[in-house]
Amino acid sequence: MEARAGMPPPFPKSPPHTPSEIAEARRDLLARPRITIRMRLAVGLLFCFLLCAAYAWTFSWSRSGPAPATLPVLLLALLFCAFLGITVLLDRALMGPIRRFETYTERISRGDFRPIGPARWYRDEFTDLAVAVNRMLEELAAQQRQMVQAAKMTTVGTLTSGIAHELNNPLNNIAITTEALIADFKRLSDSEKWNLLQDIYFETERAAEIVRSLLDFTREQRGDWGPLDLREVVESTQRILQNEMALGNVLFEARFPATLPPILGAHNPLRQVFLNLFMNALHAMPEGGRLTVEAKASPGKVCVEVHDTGHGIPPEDLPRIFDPFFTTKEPGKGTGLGLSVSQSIVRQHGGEIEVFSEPGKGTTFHLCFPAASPPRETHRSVPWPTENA
Amino acid sequence: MANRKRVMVLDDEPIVGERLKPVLEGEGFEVEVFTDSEEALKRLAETAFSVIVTDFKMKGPSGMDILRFAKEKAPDTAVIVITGYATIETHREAEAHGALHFVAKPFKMQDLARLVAKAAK
Repeated sequence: MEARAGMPPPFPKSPPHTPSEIAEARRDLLARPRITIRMRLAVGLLFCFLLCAAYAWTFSWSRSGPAPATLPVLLLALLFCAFLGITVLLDRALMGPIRRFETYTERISRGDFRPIGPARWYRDEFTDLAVAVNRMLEELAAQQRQMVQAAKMTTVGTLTSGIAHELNNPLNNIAITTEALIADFKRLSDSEKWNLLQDIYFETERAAEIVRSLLDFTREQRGDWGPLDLREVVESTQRILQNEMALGNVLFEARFPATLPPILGAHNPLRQVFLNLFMNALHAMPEGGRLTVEAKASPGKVCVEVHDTGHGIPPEDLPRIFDPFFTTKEPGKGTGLGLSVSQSIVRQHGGEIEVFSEPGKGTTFHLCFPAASPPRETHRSVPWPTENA
Repeated sequence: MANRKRVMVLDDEPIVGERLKPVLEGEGFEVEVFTDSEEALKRLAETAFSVIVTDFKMKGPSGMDILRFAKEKAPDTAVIVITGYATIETHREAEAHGALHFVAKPFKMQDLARLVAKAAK
């Protein structure tokens, strides 16, 4: 459906996804002609009044001339039909939007904070309500972003030991190589000096790379929605944890089909989801084990399974693991925000996350995301995959 | 010197061994360098060392495993643990198992060489 010139934009069939779609939905809401319920009621009543006037006029006319008996009855029937019509229209004008808002609250309570888009070609009181709800959603989304960021920083905090180890190794290499160079400066040949300097250079690069990847992760990014490859997300997350996994004797295996359809989303929040899942898996396998990530594509969906061979989750804890602040870790080791934030991120992407666990055998997290639809089938005139503005 | 004292340097960072070897050899030790803790354990099963300088966190057996094994085989062995990151608990645990020193990275080679020389006496 293409928007015709001069016509209001078509109604979206699903909630807006990308930032440009979201902004457009907010604008669209107010870009339509305003026809309030009061206006409709006034027009209906005016129509009835005219009918009544016509009836009165006919009645006075029939008294003066020969009285046609069927005329007043006909007009009465017409008046009745008009009132019936107004009632039905009012019912539709009120009940339809109320039902619609019921589905919105359902969507919002699931943690989907995307704004409400226009559903009719005109504006009315429900549009004002939608605008107010959108304002509330913006506020909620901002709070959510803060919570996600806080949880991310906590995750980084728990990574400290790995990062300190990872950073102190190249620093140590630089320090002792410099020391060797200073101590034996006169005795060393040029090529030996060259080799030592090269070591220093590469170790500096290595340290910088560690800092870079960390900053890359902690940076708050909002506007990077687009089609993305889950394989890339999983692999870049694994790179952050490579050292932790190696030191914890955890074997990592990623099984991806040759071609996986892209999903629509933001890279960094999704990386946080996998980082949380991987960290939990590592904590569940203090003696080492196997961490497997397997992706599958089904029609319209991309699903990923994250499986560990750790100690599992007791059945009584299972229903609560996505609750905010629920944690089984010692005080100071976990905030209980990781999985709750992960769940809300997955839901913001229109996806679902489920957990299966057997104590002593391991835990599997099952994530499903809607596959990004190819450009031709998108419901909007919004350019895809990236805007050409 | 006919009977030079044997020192083992174990760190999965190859540069550490490469740099420490000439310095410790300069101090008159016979130095063996390992980057794989599994191989180091094998070597420890064959021969006793006067001093072992080992990294703490490594792929495979950790510095703690090396410490325990070495102390079991030859209680006289002096073990110096070097590490990029240590909590107070790991520090205590290592000392409880008989580690002589706990040295944080980045360290100075001269300081470490001095510690090794003192430990070998």
